[in-house]
Formats: sequence, structure tokens, C-alpha cells
Amino acid sequence: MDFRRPKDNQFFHFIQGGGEMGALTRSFDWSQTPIGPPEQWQQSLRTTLGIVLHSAFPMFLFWGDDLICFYNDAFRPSLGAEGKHPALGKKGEEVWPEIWDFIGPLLSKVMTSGEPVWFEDQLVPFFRNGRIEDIYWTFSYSPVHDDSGKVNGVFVTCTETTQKVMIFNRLQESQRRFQNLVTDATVGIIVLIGKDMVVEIVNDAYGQLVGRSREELLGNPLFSVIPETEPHFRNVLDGVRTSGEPIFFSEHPYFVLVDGERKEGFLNLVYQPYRGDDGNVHGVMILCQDVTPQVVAKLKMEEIVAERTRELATANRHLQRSNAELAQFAYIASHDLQEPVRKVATFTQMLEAELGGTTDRQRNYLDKIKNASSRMLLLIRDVLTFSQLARDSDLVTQVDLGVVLDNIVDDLELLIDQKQASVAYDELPVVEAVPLQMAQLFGNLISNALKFTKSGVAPVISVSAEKLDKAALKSYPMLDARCAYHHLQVSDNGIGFEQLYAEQIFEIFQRLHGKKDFEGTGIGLAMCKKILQNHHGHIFATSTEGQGATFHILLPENQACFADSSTL
Amino acid sequence: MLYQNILLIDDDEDDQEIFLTALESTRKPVRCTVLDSARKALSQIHRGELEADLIFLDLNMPLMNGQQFLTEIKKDEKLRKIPIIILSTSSNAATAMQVKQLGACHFFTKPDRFEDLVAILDEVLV
Repeated sequence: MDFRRPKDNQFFHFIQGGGEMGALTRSFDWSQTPIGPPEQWQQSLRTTLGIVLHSAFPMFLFWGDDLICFYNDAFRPSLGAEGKHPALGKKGEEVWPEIWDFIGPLLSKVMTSGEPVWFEDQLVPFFRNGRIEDIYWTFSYSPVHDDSGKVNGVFVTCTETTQKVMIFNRLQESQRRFQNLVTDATVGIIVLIGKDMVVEIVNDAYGQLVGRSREELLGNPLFSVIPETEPHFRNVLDGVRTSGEPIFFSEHPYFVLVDGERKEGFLNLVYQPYRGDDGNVHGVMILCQDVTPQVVAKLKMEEIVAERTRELATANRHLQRSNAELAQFAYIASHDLQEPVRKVATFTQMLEAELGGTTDRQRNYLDKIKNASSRMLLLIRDVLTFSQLARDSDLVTQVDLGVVLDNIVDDLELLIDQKQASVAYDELPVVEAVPLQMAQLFGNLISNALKFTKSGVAPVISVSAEKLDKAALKSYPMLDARCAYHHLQVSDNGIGFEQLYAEQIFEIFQRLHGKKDFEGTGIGLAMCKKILQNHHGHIFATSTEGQGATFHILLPENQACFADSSTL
Repeated sequence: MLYQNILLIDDDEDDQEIFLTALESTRKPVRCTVLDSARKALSQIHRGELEADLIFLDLNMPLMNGQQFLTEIKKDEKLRKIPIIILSTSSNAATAMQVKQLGACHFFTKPDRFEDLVAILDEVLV
């Protein structure tokens, strides 16, 4: 740098050195300024300026009525680039126009009163680095007296605190954001410090959960404010604080007392160890979310499901009872109905005998009464038998179906002879069944085969049996594949039926023919179906009208196979 | 064996009449006493006021049913030899089995054909 040598060094001994600003001060042409050349400066100015220029602390000096500016190297960086530097020798108002409204009155106050002023972290924005910057200062203005003792200048010591303030502001901002985060959070947040669990941070959401205000909680040991929670939560909190391990609870029941009233609910809870700057656990942070509505809804749902299950069980019991009652009713009704009908039949016969000779018309009427009453008796007895088809496992025993068929053929001998029928059967299996029901089953089927015959054709009836193999078993989904079955077939060469009616014929009171053509009550095959149901078997029929019929019986070998089932 | 004194115990008056008419038409030389109560019958027999060498017994009766009467008679050493024939409205196989175990010698469902009852009596009374 090219500094002009001072004209008279002896006048500048007070500003020897002083760095860049010292050199500038020395080379400045002060004669053009209101304070004149340095050789005319008062001693007080020289002394003060010496202090300023030789100080490593940022300093500034306003001198004279025009507040001519001096400053040192330490102050220089605060003026930045493209700004006020060099402001040396200029009037204060020229140098600081943008802040004159603020510092002008301060300076004149110090000048007039002789009292210093002091500011800390004061925002004083001014032009530097090409723009107006927000700059914070801590500074003092001190009066400087001239040789006559009058205040003639203001001595400024200052330090720029912009960075400190910025950091502080950022810290505050982030703390404020954290506070807002905590305050505005919809989950309850509380931070407890130390063994006494003093509340350091708490939000309104937490306060609402426990029915206390933030003010009540803050700064106090938690369990002194909500003692009713201590038995449930003290150990957990201690555990987290001492172990440093977090704990989570889902749908945890809790209660608090609010003005003596019990307030209860369910919380999802996170207990998080709260670490200080040293990394040690100082306390516990609790995050809690009220899940009461969800849990209540869930419990309610579970209750409804349980209630429905109970209702269903009850309905089932009622149904079973009413089924049993219905069967009982059918039994009693049909049993008691027998008696009057039997008497009608009997007394009609007695009347007929008593009358001796009768006219044709009388005989006709008597016959109609007899026929009607005997048909009614038949119906009643079939209904009775049907209602008595018990599903009683006590009645189950080994039944030789060959013997059953022998007995049936014996019983029906007269009819078989009359019809010149043949009933053939080879070896039939022994099965576990109710003997009476097996007799009823095959009795009904053989009777039907003898009944539904083609006129002029001798009935040929055959009964065959084979064990159902695994492949065949698969084609009957209603059977239990784990059990062994026999497939029995009762075939005839009678009138048969349209395959269309193959299922209908097993329904009670369903008939395909008029009573005139074939006697019967329409109960026989319904009984067969029920007997097969009782035995976990199945019956179905195949036929082509006019070409005979085959009744297929799928009968389990053992009833023990269905031991876990409630029937038979 | 030729029966002389037979006893019918049945609370149904119609059935009493049917029975007596059927018995009459068999033309068997027998005397028949009719009582409408098993309890009455039992006490009369116990007191020796009534003698019977064959009893026809209904089952469903008030105060004492046929099964109870049967049980009481079979307890008595002297009376247990009297043959008892059940004549009931019931056609239940289980009931038939039960009364046979109690000592009845026959079980007949009251027939709905008059001739059938006559036939039964003919067969039993020889």
C-alpha cells in the first residue's frame, strides 16, 4: 500500500502504528474538515483517538459538533465491503443516514447530558455488502470531554453480536417449534425428570387425558398431582428410567379421579427413556394416545358376537326342544287318535253283525265307513311308527341283513304266494344298526316291490350287496370318506317311475298314484329315508317308467365311525 | 287248560263292551268279571273277594297302570301264577318287550277288526 508520509511526525506520535486505520488517519487531509489539521487538535481528541486506534476491541469515535467519524481496524470488518468504508473524517449523519433516526438522538443525548448509554444485542440494520443487513450490536456510547471540560465527542465501544443473536434466535425458534409440536400434538406428551418424576414438559392433550391442567402438572412430581395412577404406573416408570429400555403398551386400561369422579379408558402408551446432554437417562418421556373409542367399539363388537353366539346356542336348544316336542306330539296325537278310530271300525263291524240282513245301500254305507276307518288307522299307525324312528345309539347292535330279509319273506309269504313273486338275495352283510329299523327299511322296500307290480307279470325282486370301494365312495359327497359302507340294491320288475320323481318319492305323504290304484299312506319311503339318516347312510332310487325300479342303500358298516357325531 | 273265571281290567267302557260281545260270540263257558280300575282289582284280589284264573289287562289307566298292577301281582307268591294277557291300544314294540319282562304271557294290540278280537279269545281260551 502506498501511504503518504505524514508532514510532521511529531504531531502524530499519538497515532503511530494503529494498522490500516492508523495509516489512513495519518494520511487523511484533515484541513478540509471542520476539526481542522491534526496540529490544531485538542489534547483530549489526540488522547482518545490514540486509545481508539491502538485498541484491539472495535471502537468508534464521533467528534465535534459535526460528529466527525474515527474508527479502528477492529471495527473495520463491521462495515463490510461495498459499504461505508472509508467513513473516516465524514460527518456522522453522512455516514449513518439509514440509522440516524435511531443513533442521532442517542448521540445528542450523550452530548448534552454527559451520561453514557448501553445496549445489548440491539438490532441496528445498515448498509453494507451491497445491501441493508440486519446487524445486532452490544454497544455503549460514552461522553468524551474536550480540553475545556465540555462534552465534545462520543466514544463508542461495540461488538457485533449478529451471529450470537442469530444462533440464539434459531435456538429459540427451534425450541418454540418443539414446544408447538408438543403443545399442539394430539397425543398426550409428558416428560418426567428424576426419581420424583417431576413434570418438566407436558401438553394439553396429556392434561385432558388425566383431567388436570398443564399448570397443575408442570414442575410437580407426577404422583403428587395424580396419585391414583401411582399403583399402576410407578413400577413401569422406574423400570424405564433405571434400565433405559423403552416399553410399549397397547390398549392399556387406566383410570383417574377427576373431582372424585372415576374417568376411565384405554391408552396406547410409549415409555421412552429421556436422556440429558451427557447421554445419561434423566427421566422418562411418555407418549399416550387415547384409544378408548376404538377399544370400546371392539369390546362391544366382541360382546355382540358372544351375545349372538349365545342366542344361536339358545335358539338351537329351543329348536331341539321343539323338535322333540313335535315328535312327542306326533306320537301322542297319533297314539290317542287310534282309539276312537279303532272303535268306529269295531262298532261298525258289530253293527253289521247285529243287523243281520242289510239292503245293498246299507251295506255300501257300512263298507265305506269300514274302509275309511281302516285307512285312517293305517295312516295313524304309519305316522306313529315314523315319529318313533328313534335315533338312539343304545339300540344299535350287530344286525345280519340276511336274517332280516329271511324274516320279511316269512311275514310276507302269503302275499308273495298270491302274486307268484320271487324274492332272491345272495349273501348280505352284517352291519351295526337298529334291528327294528332295518326290518322296517327292507320291509317297506319289499312291500313296495310287491305292490307296484305290472299286471300279468310275475314280480321278480332281488337284493344284492357289495362293499363300496374308495373310488365309488368319492362319487357320494354326502358320505364320510373315513368310514366303510355297503351298497345294497333292491330291484324289481314293476311299473317303475319317471326318474324326474326320484327325489320326491322320499318326501312324506308324496304319492305318484291314486289311492284306488295302489293302497298306501305315502309314509313308507319317508320312513326309509329317515332310517338311513339315523344310520348316517343314504338312499336313492333309479328307474325308467314301466321298466322296474332299483332302490340303492348306502349303509355304514359301523356306527362307531360316527362316534363324534351327535346322532345315533 | 280250561279257564272258568276271567277278569277284564279296563277303564274304557266301550272296550269293555266290545270285549264282552266278542267273548259272548266265542260261546266259551266262562264267567267274566269286569273292573275299571287296577287298584280296585288288586285290593279285591288281595282281600280274597275276587278269584280269577286269567286276567286281561289294559295298560293306560289312571291311579295304577297295567305295568304297576303286573308288578304287584308278580310279587305275590300265590297270585304270580295267574296268567296275564295285555290288551292295549299301544302297538309299541318297546312296551311289548317291557310287559313281557314284567311277566305278561301275551301282548295284544287292541284289534280294529272285531273278528280279530274274537279270534284272539278263541285261541287263548282254547
